[in-house]
Amino acid sequence: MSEDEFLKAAAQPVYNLALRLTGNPSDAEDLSQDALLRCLKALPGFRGDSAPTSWAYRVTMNTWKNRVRSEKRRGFWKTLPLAALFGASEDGEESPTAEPAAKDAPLDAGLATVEVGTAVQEALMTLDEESRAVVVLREISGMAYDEIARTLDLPEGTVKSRLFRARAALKGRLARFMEGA
Amino acid sequence: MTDPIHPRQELLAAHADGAAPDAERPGLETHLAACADCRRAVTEYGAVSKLVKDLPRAELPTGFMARLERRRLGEESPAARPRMGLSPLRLAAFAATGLLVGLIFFREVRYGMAPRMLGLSDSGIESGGLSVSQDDARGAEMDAGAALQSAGGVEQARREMALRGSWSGGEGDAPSRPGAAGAAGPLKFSQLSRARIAKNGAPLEAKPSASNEELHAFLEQEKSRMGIQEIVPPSAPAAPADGIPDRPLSKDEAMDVMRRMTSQLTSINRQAADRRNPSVSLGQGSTPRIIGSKEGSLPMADDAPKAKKDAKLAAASAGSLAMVRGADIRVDEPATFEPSALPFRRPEPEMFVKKGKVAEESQAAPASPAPAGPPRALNPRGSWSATVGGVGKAGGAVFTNAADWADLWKRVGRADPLPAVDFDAEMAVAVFGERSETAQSSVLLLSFNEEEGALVVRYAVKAEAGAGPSAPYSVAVLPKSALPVTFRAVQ
Repeated sequence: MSEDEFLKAAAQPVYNLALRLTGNPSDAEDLSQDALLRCLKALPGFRGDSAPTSWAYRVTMNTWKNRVRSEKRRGFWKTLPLAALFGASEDGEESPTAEPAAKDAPLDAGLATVEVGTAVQEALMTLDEESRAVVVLREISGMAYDEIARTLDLPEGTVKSRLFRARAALKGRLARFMEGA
Repeated sequence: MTDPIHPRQELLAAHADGAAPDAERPGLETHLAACADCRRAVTEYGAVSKLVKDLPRAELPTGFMARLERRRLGEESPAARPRMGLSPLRLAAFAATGLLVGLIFFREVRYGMAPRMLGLSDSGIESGGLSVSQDDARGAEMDAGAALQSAGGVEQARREMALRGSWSGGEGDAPSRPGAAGAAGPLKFSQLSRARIAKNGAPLEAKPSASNEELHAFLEQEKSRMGIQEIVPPSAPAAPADGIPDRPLSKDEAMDVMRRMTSQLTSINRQAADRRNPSVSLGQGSTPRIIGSKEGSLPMADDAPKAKKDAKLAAASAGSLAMVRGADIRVDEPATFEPSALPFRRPEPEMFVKKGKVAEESQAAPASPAPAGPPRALNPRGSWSATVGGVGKAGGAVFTNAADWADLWKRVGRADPLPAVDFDAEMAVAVFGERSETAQSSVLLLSFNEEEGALVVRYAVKAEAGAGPSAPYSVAVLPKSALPVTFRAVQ
C-alpha cells in the first residue's frame, strides 16, 4: 500500500476520531498528525492483516493515550477553563449583540443543530478518557466490540461495561435532547 | 403482565446497540413487549448512541496535508517542525502566564522578595544541596496557585497543586515560603532549611511536603497578606472559546482575541473590586452620597452655561459632594422609616458663587418663585421603578447630567433602553428604599412641588411582608427646577 493510498483512506477518519477525542480542532490536528506520521513510518512493515483505517485508529489511540498520560503529568494550563475568561460577562455588554441573532428565525434550525452538536461534544468531554475512547470508537468510528477490544488492548467485557457506563452518563447529560426519542 | 424482575440496564443498553447476547435476547424481547419502562430505557440508550453518531463528520482542515508533509520532511530537524497557529487555548495560557509573571514580579518589588530568594539560593548551593532551591521553586508554584485562584477558582488551583506534587502526607514541614517581611507566624523555608542543614549537616533528604490543611491555611494567610477579601469563582460555564473561531487564528485575529481576553480579565477584576466596595453607597444614616461623578451633584442653575460655570466653581471650592455638604435635613412629616427617610436637599447656590453674583443672579432669574409663593406642581415626564435593583440604602439623588443618568440606569440593572433626558431642560430624581430580606417593599413617588423655596419630592415606601428580598427604587424625569430639592417621606 502506497503512502498516498494510505493517507487518502486514513487521514480524514483519523482526524475525525482525534477531534472527538480531544474536543478541539487544534489539538485534533496535532494528535492526528502525530498518529499519521507514526503510521507512515511504520507503513513499510504494515502487513495488511487488518483494514488500514483500523490500524490507523489503533495507532491514534495509542498516541492519544501517551499524550493524555504526559499531559496529566505536566498538565497545568490545559485545564485552565476558557469559560472563566470568556462568556458569561456580567456587564451584559455582549448580550445585546447575541440576542438578536438568537431570535433570528431562519437561523434557528442551524443553531439547533450546532447547539446539539456542541452539547454532545461537551458531554463527551465530561467522560473520563477511557470511556470517551470506547464511545468514540463505537459510535464515531463504527467499530465492533471485539475490534474495540483489540484496538484498546482490553477484554471485550471491559469494553462492554465501559460503553454502558459511558452511555448511562451521556444519557443523563443529554436528556434534554432526547424528548422526541 | 410485566415481568417483575427487570433486565439489567447494561443488557438494555447492549440491546439498544444490537449487541445483547443471543441467549438472552428472546427473554429480553418478551419482557420489553410488556414493560414500558424498559422499552423507554432501550429507546433512550438508542437515542444517546444516535446523538453521538450524528455528530458531524469533520473534514480535514485546510492545509492539513501540506502541514503534515512539512512536518514529515522536518522530522529530522526538529527545529523545523511547524507548530500550529495560535490556538485560543495557547492564547489563554499565554495571557495567564503574563499575568502570573507580572504578579510575581510585582510582589518581588513590593515585598522585596528577590534579594532574600537570591540569598537563600546561594546558601542552598553553599550547603551542597539543591533542596533549598527546590523550596523556592515550590514557593513560586504556590504563587502560581494563588494567582490562579484569583483569576480562576479555588478548586482549580487546589487540583492543579495536587497534580503537581506530593502535597499530602509529608513530614510536617510548614507550607510556608519566604513571604511577608517580618511575618511572625509562619515558618520560613529559609529558617527551616538552614536549621535543618545545621542540625543534620547534610542536604535535605526528602522534599518538603504539606497536607491539604496546611496548604489551605497557607492560602488563607496569603489572602489576608495580599488583601484579597474574596476569591471570585469563575462565572457560570459558557461555551469554551466563546466567540473565537475554532481554528488556527491569523495574527490580527489573535491580537484581537488577546485584547478581548485582557479586557475580560480586567473586567473580572473590576467586578470583584466592585463587589467588595460598591461605589454606590449612600453612607450612614441620613447623609446620602450622590451617585455618579462630582459634576452630577452640583447645583443647577437657570441656564446651562451658568450651571457649567457654577460647576467649575464648586468643584474648585467645595471639593466634595455638594448635595451632602449642603444637606438641609428637615423632618416635618411623619417618616415611614428612619433614619433613612430623612429628607435632604441640595445646597443653596450661594455656597458656591460670589455674593455679588448671587444678588445679580436672583434678580435676573424671575423664574425662581418667591419662597412664600403658592405650590407649583411639576409633572414628571416619565417614571420607572422596581422592587429590586436599588442601592439598598435609603436615600435620594438628583441627576443633572447624562453620564450620571446613564450610570444610574446601569446600576439599577434596567434592561430597557436608557430614556433620553434633555438635561438642559430636565432633570431626574431617584429615591431608594432600604434593602429588606423579608419584605417586598416598593417606593412610590407621589408629587413634585415647588413650594417654600424648594422642590419637594414626596414619596412613600410600601412594604408587604413575606415576599423579600427587595431593594426598591423609583426614578422620575422632571422639568428642570432651579430650586434645591428636598425629599419627604409620606405615610
